[in-house]
Amino acid sequence: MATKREHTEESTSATKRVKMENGNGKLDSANNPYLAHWNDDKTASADALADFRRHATTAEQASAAEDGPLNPFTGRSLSNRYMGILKKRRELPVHKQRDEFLKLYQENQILVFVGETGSGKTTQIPQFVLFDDMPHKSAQMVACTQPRRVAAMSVAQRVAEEMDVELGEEVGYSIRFEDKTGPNTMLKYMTDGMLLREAMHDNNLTRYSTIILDEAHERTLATDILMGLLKEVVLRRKDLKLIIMSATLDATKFQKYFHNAPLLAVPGRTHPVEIFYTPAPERDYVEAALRTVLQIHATEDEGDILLFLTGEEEIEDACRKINLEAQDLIREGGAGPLVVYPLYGTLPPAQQQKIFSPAPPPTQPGGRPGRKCIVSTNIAETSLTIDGIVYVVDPGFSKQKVYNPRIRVESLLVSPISKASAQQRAGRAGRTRPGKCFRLYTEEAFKKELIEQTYPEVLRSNLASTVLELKKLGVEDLVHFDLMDPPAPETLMRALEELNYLACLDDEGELTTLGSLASQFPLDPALAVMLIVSPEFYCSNEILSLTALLSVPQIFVRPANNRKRADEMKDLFAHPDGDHLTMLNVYHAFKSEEAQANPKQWCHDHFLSYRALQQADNVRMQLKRIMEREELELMSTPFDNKKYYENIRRALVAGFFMQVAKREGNGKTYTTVKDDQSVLLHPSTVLGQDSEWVVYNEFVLTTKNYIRTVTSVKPEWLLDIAPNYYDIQSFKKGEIKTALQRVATKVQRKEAEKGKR
Amino acid sequence: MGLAAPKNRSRISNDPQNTTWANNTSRFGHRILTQQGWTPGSSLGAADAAHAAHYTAASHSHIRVLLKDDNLGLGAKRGSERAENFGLAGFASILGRLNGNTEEVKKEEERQEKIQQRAYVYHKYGFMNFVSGGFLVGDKIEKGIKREDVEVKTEVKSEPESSNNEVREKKSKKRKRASDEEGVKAEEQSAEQPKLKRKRKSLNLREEAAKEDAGSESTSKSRKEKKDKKEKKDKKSKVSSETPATDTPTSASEPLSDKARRKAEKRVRKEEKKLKKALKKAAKEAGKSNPTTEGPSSESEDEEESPSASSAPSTGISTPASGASGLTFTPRGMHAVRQRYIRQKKLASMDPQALKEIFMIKTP
Repeated sequence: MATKREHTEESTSATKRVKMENGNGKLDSANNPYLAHWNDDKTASADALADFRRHATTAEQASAAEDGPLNPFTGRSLSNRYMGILKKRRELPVHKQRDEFLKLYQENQILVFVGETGSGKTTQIPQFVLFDDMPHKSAQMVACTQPRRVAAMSVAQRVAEEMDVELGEEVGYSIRFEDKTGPNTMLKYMTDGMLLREAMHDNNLTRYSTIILDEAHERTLATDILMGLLKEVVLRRKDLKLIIMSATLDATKFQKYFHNAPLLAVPGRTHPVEIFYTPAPERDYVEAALRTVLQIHATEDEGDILLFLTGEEEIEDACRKINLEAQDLIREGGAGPLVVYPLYGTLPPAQQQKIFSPAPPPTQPGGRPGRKCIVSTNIAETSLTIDGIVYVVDPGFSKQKVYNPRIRVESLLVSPISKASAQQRAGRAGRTRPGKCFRLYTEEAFKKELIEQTYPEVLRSNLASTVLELKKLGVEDLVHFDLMDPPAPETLMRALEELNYLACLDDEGELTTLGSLASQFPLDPALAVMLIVSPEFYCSNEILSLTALLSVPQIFVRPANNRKRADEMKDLFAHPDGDHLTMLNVYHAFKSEEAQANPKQWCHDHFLSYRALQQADNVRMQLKRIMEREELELMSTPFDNKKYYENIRRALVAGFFMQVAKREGNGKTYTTVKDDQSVLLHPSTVLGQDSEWVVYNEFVLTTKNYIRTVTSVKPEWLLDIAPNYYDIQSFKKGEIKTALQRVATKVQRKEAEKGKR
Repeated sequence: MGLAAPKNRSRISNDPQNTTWANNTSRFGHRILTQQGWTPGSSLGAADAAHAAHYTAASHSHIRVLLKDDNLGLGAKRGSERAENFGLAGFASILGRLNGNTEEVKKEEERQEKIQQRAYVYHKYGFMNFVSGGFLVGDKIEKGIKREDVEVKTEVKSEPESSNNEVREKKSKKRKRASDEEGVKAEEQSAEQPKLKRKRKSLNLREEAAKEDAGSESTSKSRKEKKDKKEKKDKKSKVSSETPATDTPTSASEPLSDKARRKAEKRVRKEEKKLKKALKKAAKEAGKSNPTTEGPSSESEDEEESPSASSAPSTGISTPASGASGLTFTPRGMHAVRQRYIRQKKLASMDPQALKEIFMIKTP
């Protein structure tokens, strides 16, 4: 009884306040003070949002509704846990500016929101929007995009807890291969790629009343395309609201891009970070980094260390070395305990979670405090927030993707970071208390050698699949498509040409049926085309497996301390005709009963990555579903048929005829067809040196140029399957042209002989 | 490394930039783009975009990246790329003069000369290290607490930079010292001023130490100073590698090979504990009685010994002993950790330093 009365009192007082604020000027019966008696019984009902007027609410109203005691969205009573979280939520920096945010949000269609990491923007802003937008009343949703799947999942989980609802009900998420939403869902976290896919089917995104593009500063390919797209959609749909959220303070570019949209900046909870440079350049940045870490551990005050390195191998190696040295340090130097955690994208989620565990306690009570050290790629730069980091060690490098459209190579290369990136890294040290950032380069190098901003992905990628998506999205004029950073013209040309050769675009640049079908697959166009045409070669089952295997990380494990044994195991699966077939053998073996009895152990014994294979299995299932939906037949050539492997190789050519190399004379070097690049077979290949023509999956750029994952093919197939590409007239004079001519005449003669008979 | 560097042979294709493709204007992609209103040489994107000023060079042509296949730090240059290694420095200075930058060129030359001198001395005798004792203002020694803070940090910073290349190390040391005094982060300084200041500082040191000896200094202040000194000393001992003070907490952050060497020594020493202790004493005395070229050096020795001796009974040899024989400077560098243990064993039997200790041969 008492609680009930309290509730009514609270609600009425809340509405009174609302009336005071909203009553003036705005004519609406719900807020009209003279009609207050109408509202009284409404507020007593479960729906605390009943008298909220869409896009005219205030922060005060919303916080009253948040206070409960009933959940304003579900009508159930709120748990104690919710109240605890609510208190913490209200301490977040964004909360102070809720009114300001609502005002700007209500007045503008597009809003640029800048909040440093830790301001709470990713979790709070969508909830602020919910209270004002109330999408459930118009059967719409609020979407919040995230560049990473893990982030989408974990943030959705967190927000569901904050709102005291079940994940998948009012709050859900949608990522590739997983959709955890329901009919009640009003707030949906999703990857930017997923929203782009949805836009393909629903060009106006009518399901959404507000779209929030989070982490826009990361400038992923999908976010960039979405921004270009939404810029046009907001003109068509005046009721759609758009919020661009970024963590970098330099948002003028975003503002300019979105017709001078208003900016709201919320300071993060950050402390000053002292920055140190080396007086002279380092000869070995890894060694310098390790020494710095150990030194920090030995000499600096309590606080965790974050070290940025470039890749998985480097990180694992560094972790091992730090561990070894730290043991000495503890034993001899009396330093506190030090735990080292690696962190990189391909690390299993369970191990990624370890980085959040607290630093170890002192070895004995009253001893020197323990410390944790996280050695990470640049994923800890913006996306992951780790509390307790006080020291950041920044060697100034990261692995970045680059694409060279001229030789058609997309590769991950270690290159210097940008100034913006360096500042982000340094900022990680000031999350909990004043920190220090040790930069392993000179101040001069910082000023002179680093570029201002990291290049967005759209400038660093092969755009073939993006162009296909854009065509599917109905963008006709690619030249004038308004991207924040337009790609290099040559990159776009290459993409168009690749799609043209793959017959996804016709000679006028229009999307073909094949192209439209290929865009249904979340795959590279070459892989998608290979998959679509595989029924013609009677091997769609096998190509399906192969496609899945090619879209996951490396399946072969080759630990540094057991290379020989790993190679022996790989030889068990080797197929003389090449790596693609070897991978297929692995997959078939993996799916055999013997392996499935204890797949983990089996993979370990055979030096295979269980995770990658499992992932491949998962991807295969998803692709299979799409194939079934598109009515593509799944079939296999009988295994005892002589043509079993030949068919697979021919299907491979159908997708990868643009990635073919021919051996030069009798030497080791190969030359790529048309692009004329000298390459070598990657040492990991099972293929002998005697295949004249090979199709490759990947061009790897190192001091020597390698082609990886190769399978030998016959030149006759090339002429037969891709006559457009292998139009001999178009080749420039050289070894490849003569070889192809020879093959062509041979084929002609054979056919003539056949005709005679 | 220069000419002795490992050769990386790689074949360059006939047309590594694939100009055949780039110059061909009858391609499909080229045709479609021109059809849609693109003109060669212009960038893509909306016409008259408001944000066009933010476009980067990468919107015109693809990003070009240098292939990095080593662990060279940012801004560091390979041996053959450094101007001074090929006499190009002289050429650069001539060009600099011709361009009217006489002042800067002169400064740079002086700097280089200083570095070389330092390198020579370091090679030959090893370095002495000093700790800041504040500035003598009138009769009192003033300690810039704030500056001290920065000082320590810059040192922390500069340490990891130590390298196989002594010349560079010297350079950084010099700069470090400069930054010590200026209380600012490492910057290129004219070499003159810091030197003067350093002298003054050493004077301060001497006086201060004398005061301490007499016990006239207020306890609290001297304690604070000592603490500072200790901190600094820790670091210096690392940088210089001339004090194998194995037991100082910072020792592990020394370059690993160096540490391995000391470890080996330690093992030997464990076997010969008594012997070593005697040696240590002798060495200490030798160090004290050593006629030093610079006055305050004996002071700093004392300081270096006292805390380490008190904190750990199994301290290594004191500074002067190894400093005098400190010409056995081993190049630093991170080696494979796995090889370390093998090396340690080897070193224990092969390191002349260790052997000398075992056989009680006094080094001159």
